[in-house]
Amino acid sequence: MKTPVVSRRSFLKSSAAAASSIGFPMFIPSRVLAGPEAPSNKINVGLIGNGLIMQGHRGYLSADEGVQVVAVCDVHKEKLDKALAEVKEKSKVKGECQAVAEFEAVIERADVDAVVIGTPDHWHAAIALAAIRAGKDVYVEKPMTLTVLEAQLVREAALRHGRIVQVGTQQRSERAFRKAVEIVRNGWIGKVHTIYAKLGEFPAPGSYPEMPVPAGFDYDRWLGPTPWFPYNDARVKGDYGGGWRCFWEYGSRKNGDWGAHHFDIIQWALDMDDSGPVEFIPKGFGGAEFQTHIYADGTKVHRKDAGIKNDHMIHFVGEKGEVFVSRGDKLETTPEDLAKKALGPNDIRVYESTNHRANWLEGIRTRKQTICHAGVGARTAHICQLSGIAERLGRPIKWDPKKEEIIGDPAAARWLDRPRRAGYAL
Amino acid sequence: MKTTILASTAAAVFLAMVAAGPPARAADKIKLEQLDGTTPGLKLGSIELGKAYDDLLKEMIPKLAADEVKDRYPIQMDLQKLALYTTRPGGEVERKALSIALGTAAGQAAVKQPARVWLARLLEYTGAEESVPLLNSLLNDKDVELREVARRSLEKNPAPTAVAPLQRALAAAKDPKSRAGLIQSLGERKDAASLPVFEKGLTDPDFSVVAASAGALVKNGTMAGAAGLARVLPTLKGPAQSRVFEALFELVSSVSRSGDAASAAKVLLRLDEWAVTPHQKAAIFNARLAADPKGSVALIKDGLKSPNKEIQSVALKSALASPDKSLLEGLTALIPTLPVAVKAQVLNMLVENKNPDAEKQALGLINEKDATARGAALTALATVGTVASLDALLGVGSTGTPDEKGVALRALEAMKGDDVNAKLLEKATAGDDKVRAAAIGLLSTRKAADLTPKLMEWANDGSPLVASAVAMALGRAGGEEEARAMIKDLKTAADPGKRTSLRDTLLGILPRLEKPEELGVTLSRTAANAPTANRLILIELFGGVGGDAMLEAVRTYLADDNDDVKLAAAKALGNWRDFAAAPDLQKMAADTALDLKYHAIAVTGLSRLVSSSDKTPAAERVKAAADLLKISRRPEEKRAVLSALGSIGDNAAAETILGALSDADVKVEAGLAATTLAEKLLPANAAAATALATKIKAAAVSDAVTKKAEAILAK
Repeated sequence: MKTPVVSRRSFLKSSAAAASSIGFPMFIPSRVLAGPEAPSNKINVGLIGNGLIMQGHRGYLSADEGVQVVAVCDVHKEKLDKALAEVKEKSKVKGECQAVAEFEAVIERADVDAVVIGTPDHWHAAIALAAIRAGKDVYVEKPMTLTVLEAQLVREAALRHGRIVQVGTQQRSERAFRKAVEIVRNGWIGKVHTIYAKLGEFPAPGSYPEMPVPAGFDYDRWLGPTPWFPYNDARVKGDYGGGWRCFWEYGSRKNGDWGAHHFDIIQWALDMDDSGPVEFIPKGFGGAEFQTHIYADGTKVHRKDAGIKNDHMIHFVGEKGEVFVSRGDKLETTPEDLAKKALGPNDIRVYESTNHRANWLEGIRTRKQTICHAGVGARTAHICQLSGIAERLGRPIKWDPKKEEIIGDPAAARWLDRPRRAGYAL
Repeated sequence: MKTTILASTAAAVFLAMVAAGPPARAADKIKLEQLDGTTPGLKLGSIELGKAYDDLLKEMIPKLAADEVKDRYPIQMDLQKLALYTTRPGGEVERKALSIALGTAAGQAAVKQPARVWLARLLEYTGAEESVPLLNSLLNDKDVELREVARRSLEKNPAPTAVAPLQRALAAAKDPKSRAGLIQSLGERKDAASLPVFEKGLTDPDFSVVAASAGALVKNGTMAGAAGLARVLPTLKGPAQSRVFEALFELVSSVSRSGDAASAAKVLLRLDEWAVTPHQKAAIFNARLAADPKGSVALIKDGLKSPNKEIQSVALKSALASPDKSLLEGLTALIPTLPVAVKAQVLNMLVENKNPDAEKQALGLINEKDATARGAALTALATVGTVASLDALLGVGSTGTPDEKGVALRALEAMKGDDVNAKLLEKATAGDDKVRAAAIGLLSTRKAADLTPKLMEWANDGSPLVASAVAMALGRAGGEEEARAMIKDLKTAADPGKRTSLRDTLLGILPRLEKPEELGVTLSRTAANAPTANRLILIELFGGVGGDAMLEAVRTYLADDNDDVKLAAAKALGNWRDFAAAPDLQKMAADTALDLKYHAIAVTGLSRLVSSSDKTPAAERVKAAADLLKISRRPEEKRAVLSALGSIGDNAAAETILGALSDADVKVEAGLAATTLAEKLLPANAAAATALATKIKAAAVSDAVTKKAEAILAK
C-alpha cells in the first residue's frame, strides 16, 4: 500500500482549496474593504426592468447566498409586484427589498453595489450610465446600447469609473461556443473566409391604433428618450417573437436580438474585440442574397436566417474545415474529430467562463475583468446597430473601426446616435 | 433666399394641387419605383424631380393620415424608403428636391396632423439648409408633436443656419421641458455661442435643465466648456452636483484623450477637491492613476492609507499589478496602519513576491479576530513559514476552527528544516495535551526518524487525547515488532476503550506489513486463548493479516454458533486487506437469510476493496461492483458501490454507473460517481471523458452534478 507523501506543491494546492472553504478570498473585494459593517462578500443588487428577461436573473440571484436583492424596479406595477413577491419568497438572503417605479431611486442608494438592467434596449444606455456614474457595477442585457454613440459613452464611463460591466451575451460563457472560438483561433480549419449566422426575422413593426394605457403602467416613462407614439399593447409587449423588439425605436430588430449573441461570438472567434468589420451591406442591395458585414481581411459574415446544417446557429467556413455551433452544447466540425480535439500546451486558450452571471459576481468581488465587459459589448453593439443602419438606409456603409466613424456617407453618420426626447439627455 | 423662393413656389404649386384634388394619373407618370432605387436609371432635373415628388406626396398624404391607423404603415415605409434613398452619396439633387417637397407638405395646415408629423420626421434624415425655414416654422407650431419633430430634425440638420431657430426658441421657451430639449439639441450641435446659456442652465431649479446643460457642455468638448462647469460646480449640491461633477469629469477625460493631458490633469486635481461622495473621490483617484503612471507609486501609497474604502480597493488592485518593487517595500512599512482586510491583501502580495518580511507580517496577523486576516496569515505561512512559525501554527492546529486546523497542520506537515522535527518532539513530550497530540500526529505524518520507541513510551500516557494520537501515529509508523506487542496487550486488555484503540492501531499497521503470515499465526493463537471480549476484537484483525489460512479460519468462525463470534468474523472479512475476500463478501451480501447488518458489512467491505485494490484488474473489480449493485438492498449500500465504481478510473465502469442515473434513489450519487470517473478518465482518454460528461449533463440529475459535468466539458 502506498503512503502518500505531502509535497510543498500539493500542500499549497490543498490549502488554496481549504482557504476557500474557510471563507477568505484570494483577492480582497472592495465590498470587504467597506469596513466592519460589511464583513461578508454579500453583494447588494438592484433589478431594473422586471419583464421577461429578468426572470432568469431574478431567480439566479435570489438563490445565491452571496447576493441580496435589495431593490426591484419597473414602470409596470403588476410586474413590479410580481418581482417583489418572488424575491421575498425565493431569496436565500433574507432582508428588505424595495419596490420602485423609477430606476433613480435604486441608483441613489449607497448600499446598492450593482444593478441588473433588463429593460427594453432604448433604456439600456441611460440606466447603465447613471449606475456607473454612481459607482455601481452593472449587468446590462444585450445589446449593450441602442446606438453607436451610446456604446462609446458606456464603454468610456465604465473605464473612467473603474466599474465592472457584464453584457448579457452569455453565449461566451457556454462551452461549445468557447470551443468553436478556440478551433477558429488556433487555425484548425485554416483561414476562415465566410461565416453564416442564423438570426431569423421579426414581423414588421406596423402602425397600431391608440389604446387606453393600462392602469398601473407609466407609458410615458416607458417611452423615455424615444419619440411619443400612441399607446398600443403590441408596442410595449415583452415577447421574444415580437412586441417592442420589432420596433426600431426600442430595439434593432434581429440584429440587436440574435445578432447581438452571434456577432459577439464571431468577433471573439476572429479576435476582433478591439476592432470590427469595415463594411455593412444590406440584404437585397445589388441583388445581395444575404445581409453581410465584411472584415478588413475579407472575411464575410452573412446573415442566413435558415438553412444552416442541423439547424445550427453559427457556421464558420475555413480553408481546411468548418465549425457549426449552437446553444445546448451543440458543436460539429469538419473534420469531425476537431470538435473533440484537446488543446495543446502552446494552443491559444481564450477567456474561460462557465457561468455568465457568476463571472459577473466574481468580477464584482475581485475586480477582475468580466468576459463580456463594456469594451466587448460596445464593439458588438456597433455591429448590431451598423447592420441596422445599413438595412434601414438600403445601402452599404463603410466603417472605420479604429476611428469608429462611418466613411464617406454623412447622411448615414447622422444615424450613429438618435435625438432624445426633451429631459432625457444622457 | 433662393431656397426660400423655391420652397414658396413649391408651396403655391402644392396648395393649388390640394385645392384641385387628386389629378388623373397620366400614362407616363413617374412611379415610386423609379424614384426610390428599385428601378434606377431615371434622370431628371431638380424641377422635374420636385414635380414628381409633389405628385407622389399628393397621392400618399391621404394614406399617411388614414383613419385606420394600421393603413398608414405601408405608405409610411414607402415614403421612408424613398427619403433614405435620396440621402445616398451622389443623390444630392434628389435629396434636396424631396426635402423641399416634404417640408412644403408638412408646413400645410390643411394636411392632417399624422401626415405632417411623418413628413417632418423624415427631414431628420434628409433635411439640410433648404429645410431650415420650414423647421423654424414648425418649431413654433401649436402642435407639441410637430414642435418636437422639428427640434429633432434641426438637431440633426447639418446646415449652420439650423442653430439660430433653436437659439431663438430657447430664448423664448418658458417651460423647463422645452428648455431642456432645446439645450439638448444645441449641445448636440456643439453650439459654442450657447456656452453661457448652458452654464446658466447648470443652476436651473429644474433638474432636467441642469442635466441637459451639463450634457451640452460635455458635447462642446473644449476647455471652455470645462471652465463653465468648473465655475458652477463648487456652488452645487445633491443631484445637480453629481451631474455637473460627472460632466466635468467626462469632459476632462475626453480632453486628456485628445491630447491636452496637462490641462486635464489640473482639472482632475480640482475635481478631487470638489468630490463629495466616496465614489467621486475614488473615480478621480482612478483617473489620476491612469493619467500619471510615473506618479502612481506615491498615489498608490496614499490610496492604501485612505479612509475611503473604494480608493483603498483601487490602490490595492493597482499595487498588485505594479511591477515597482519600491512600492512593495513601502507597502510593508504601511501594514500596521492598514485595515485588517487590506493587511491580508498586502500580505498575499508580499508572499507572491517572496518578500523577506512576509513571515513576520503573517505571524502578526495569525491571531487577528477577523477570519479573513487569519486565513491570509495561515495561507502565507504555508508558503513562507519556517520553524519560527511552528509555535503559532501548532497553536492553531490544536485549537483553531476545523478548517483552520486543517490548513495549519498541513502547513506544518510540509514545513522544511532539520530543526522542525526536533521542535515537534519537544512539543510532543510535555505541555498542553492538545498541543502534544497535534505534535505527535505531525511527527508521524512527517515520518520523523526513530519515532516508534517514543510512541511506545507515550502509549501508556494517562491523557486519552495523547493516547489516541499515539495509537493513530503507531498505526501509521509502527511495524511488526510494535504490532506483536500490541497483540499481546490486546489479549489481556480489560478496558473496552483501550481494546478499541489497540484494534484501530493494528488495523493501521497490519495492512502495511509485507509479510504478515508469521504474525497471523501469533494472532490466531492469541485469539484462541483470549477471553471472549478480547477474542472477538482479535478475530476482527484477521482481515488485516489476510492470506488463505486466515481466510479459512474466518470461514470457520462464520459458521460458529455464537452470534458475536460470527459477527466478528464478518467484520474481519469486511476489513480484508486484499481482493481475495471478494467472493466471500459477495456471497455474504447475497445471503438474504443473514441479518441486514451482515449485508451492510459485506457491501461496505467489498466496495472498499473495489476502490482500493489497484493490483486487481479493473474489469474484475467492475464486474464485482456491478454484481454487488444488483444485490444491494438499500440506497445507502448502492451509493457506496457507485462511489467505489467512480474511483476505478476505467471506462468499463461507466456503463454500470450510467445505468443507475435513472434510479431515483441514487441518481445523484450515480451522477457524482460518473463525474469522478470522467475526471479520472480525462488525462488519458479525453474522448471517453467528454462522452461520459455529455451523458451526465443530459441526464440532469441535479444542478450540482450538471455543473460538474459542464466543468469537465469545459476542460
